[in-house]
Amino acid sequence: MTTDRSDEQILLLLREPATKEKGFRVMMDTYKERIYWHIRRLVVLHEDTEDILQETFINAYRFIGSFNGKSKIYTWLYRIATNECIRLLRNRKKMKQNIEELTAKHTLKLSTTDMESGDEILVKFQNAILRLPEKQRLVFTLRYYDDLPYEEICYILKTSVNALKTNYHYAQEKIKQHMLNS
Amino acid sequence: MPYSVPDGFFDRITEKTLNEALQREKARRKYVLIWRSMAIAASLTALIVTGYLLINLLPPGKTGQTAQNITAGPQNEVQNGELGIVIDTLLVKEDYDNKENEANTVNGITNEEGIDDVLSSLTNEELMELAAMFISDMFMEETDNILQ
Repeated sequence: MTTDRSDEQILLLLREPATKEKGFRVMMDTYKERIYWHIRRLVVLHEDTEDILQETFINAYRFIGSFNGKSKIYTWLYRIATNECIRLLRNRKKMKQNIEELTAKHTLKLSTTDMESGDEILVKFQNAILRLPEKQRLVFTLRYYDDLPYEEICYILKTSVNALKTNYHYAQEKIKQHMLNS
Repeated sequence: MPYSVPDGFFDRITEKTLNEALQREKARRKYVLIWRSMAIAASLTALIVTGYLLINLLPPGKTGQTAQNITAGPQNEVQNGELGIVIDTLLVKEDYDNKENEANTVNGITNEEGIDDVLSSLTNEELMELAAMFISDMFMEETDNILQ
């Protein structure tokens, strides 16, 4: 994993106090949509997504000095965003104490206010993803939607490639079953 | 994707996030400044209290020694020790002198008045009685030694 040209430019801008704000704008304009959709697929609600998106970029702004440039900026942002999502999901679990209730709430939300017309299959597919265990859901989302290589997912989730492949395989099987049965 | 996003969300979010980041940075700097000031104030207070305790609450000999150590430095350690001993000795001597003065005063008459003054104030009869007591009393001689 190496830093590409645009990442270098963003980092140069961010590390200079005089151009830090400009660097932040460039970084956000480059990655905000990609990171938004990653968060949205995990937490479903737009309000939560907005909060986490802001938190992600604010943390990036604050801790840019500790970013060593060995990975790409978006991988680093994915990692921050994923950690924030996991924290939110775990807090929700603590509060609700019932994952089924939570999934049902998300499913209902997904199939009413947020659904665009003619997207029934996509809604079903999204419901299947929401029913996956946390780890499988994260791996599947990063691999399937964001098309990230396993090495980068390893960096984001701090797990081995073999564990990721296993989780992805189980996630695929469960989604297939859900789509066929419902 | 089966999700919708409010209109203009992506246009506004950059400025909104940047403003939030700047505000937090400002608040964090303020917090760090307050925290540092409090830490410095606490350290100074601790130093002052420790100094006060060292100077006022330790025994006099030790205080003299410590004060000398602080002002003179480590090369005067032996002299400082001696100074403490000298102070102790002076205090003991003063105490001893007081006790000696008390012992020399018998019935309100001090040794400094002199035995001649006492004898001159006595009548002849009293002197005769005193002489008779001196011969008959076996402890008189010891009392006389004490008076002298």
